[in-house]
Amino acid sequence: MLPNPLALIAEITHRCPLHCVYCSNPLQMASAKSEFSTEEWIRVFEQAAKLGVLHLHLTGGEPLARTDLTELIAGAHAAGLYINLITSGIGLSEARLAALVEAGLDHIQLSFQDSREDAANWIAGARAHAHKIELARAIRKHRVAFTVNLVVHRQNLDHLEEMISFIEQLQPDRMEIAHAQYYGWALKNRRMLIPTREQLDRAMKTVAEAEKRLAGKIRIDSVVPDYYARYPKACMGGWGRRLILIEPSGKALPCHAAGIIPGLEFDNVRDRSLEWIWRESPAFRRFRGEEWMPEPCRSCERRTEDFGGCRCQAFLLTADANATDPACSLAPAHHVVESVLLEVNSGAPAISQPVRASSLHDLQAQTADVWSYRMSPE
Amino acid sequence: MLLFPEGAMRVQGTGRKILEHCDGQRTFREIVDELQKHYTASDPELIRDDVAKFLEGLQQKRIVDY
Repeated sequence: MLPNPLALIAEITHRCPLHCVYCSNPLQMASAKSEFSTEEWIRVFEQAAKLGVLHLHLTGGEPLARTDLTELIAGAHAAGLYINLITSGIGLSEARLAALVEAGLDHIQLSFQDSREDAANWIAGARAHAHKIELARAIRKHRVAFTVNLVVHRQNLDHLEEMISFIEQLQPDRMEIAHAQYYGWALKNRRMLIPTREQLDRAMKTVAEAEKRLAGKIRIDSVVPDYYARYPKACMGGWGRRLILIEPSGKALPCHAAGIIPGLEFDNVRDRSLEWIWRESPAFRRFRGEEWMPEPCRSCERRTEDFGGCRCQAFLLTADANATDPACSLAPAHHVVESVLLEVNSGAPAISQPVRASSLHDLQAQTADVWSYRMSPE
Repeated sequence: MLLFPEGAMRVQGTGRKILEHCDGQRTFREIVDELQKHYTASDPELIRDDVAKFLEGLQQKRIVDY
């Protein structure tokens, strides 16, 4: 029997004041004009709660770019959902924070790009770091669960210990140390982001030590880079098994990146009920279960654990969404991942110095041969 | 259902009873006192130890604060 979805990820806007080079948003984003209205979102939240969804993740883009965020949270709270706000903090004053908590916000997940201001602003393509620190202090004055999220990659991994100490001082309940995942802008910039094996080994040790030291104080969750794993990640807990993502204009997807897979049509919650989309829609059924699996997945013992890995990654790296995820060491196309790793682990991979610039335009000009900054939709 | 960042836990029976007493106002001692009065058939020492173990487990996961 098909279980209920556990979480709804609502990308309420693709607009964002930051331009992070590791952003996993699609390169083609939904325009501001096509965004769902307040009432449309609240209707979706109510349907989600009826369908058995427990957690709502408000994300984007930057959810704070929506001026109706307080109303959206109040609506989701009234529907009985546990609400998590995934944010850069840009656009959040102390007064607005108080209003969001008052409206029923349960958990705030604030991203940091680095412990060092110049490096953080260089990665984000925006002067955001100082405000985030101020905001973290304000968050601790409220009754709301607090997570600090740090995305790590080759350019910052060499001072991971310093970054963990920095986060510790912000006193979150939880810290998430996530290696960049190579989708969207991060895939475009993979050449500069993918860590070396040596960096990764050291990072795993550093995180394990921090987990021990901070036990009972700060919970640490870490996401490992699947290119270095033996088996692929159980992406989204399996296609159409636990999560529904709604993008800004109301299209329902089984994951963040699914829009890139050719031939899939995504139903809009404007036209169809969330329940129908979950149970019946062709896109959600496409890779559900084991019917679609090729060998070696089909006869693999791990097929019920990792579900053949990530369909989007399979498509991005092999041009075939039905393929075994190339991150898997058993995949016929594993050589694609191996050759990326070989390149980064032979010789001295580039580590750049933070660049200071007077504007994003200036920053882009100075880093044109290094990477591309994430751009906001029209 | 107990909801927390990135997770959920179904809590039933005595675990549920313990959490219902955790209101941010009662102290650990008060919670134990009340539960000892409720479960008169059980050894009071055992109740205290079980409540402590249960809450410490949740505190380690940063689900409960005290």
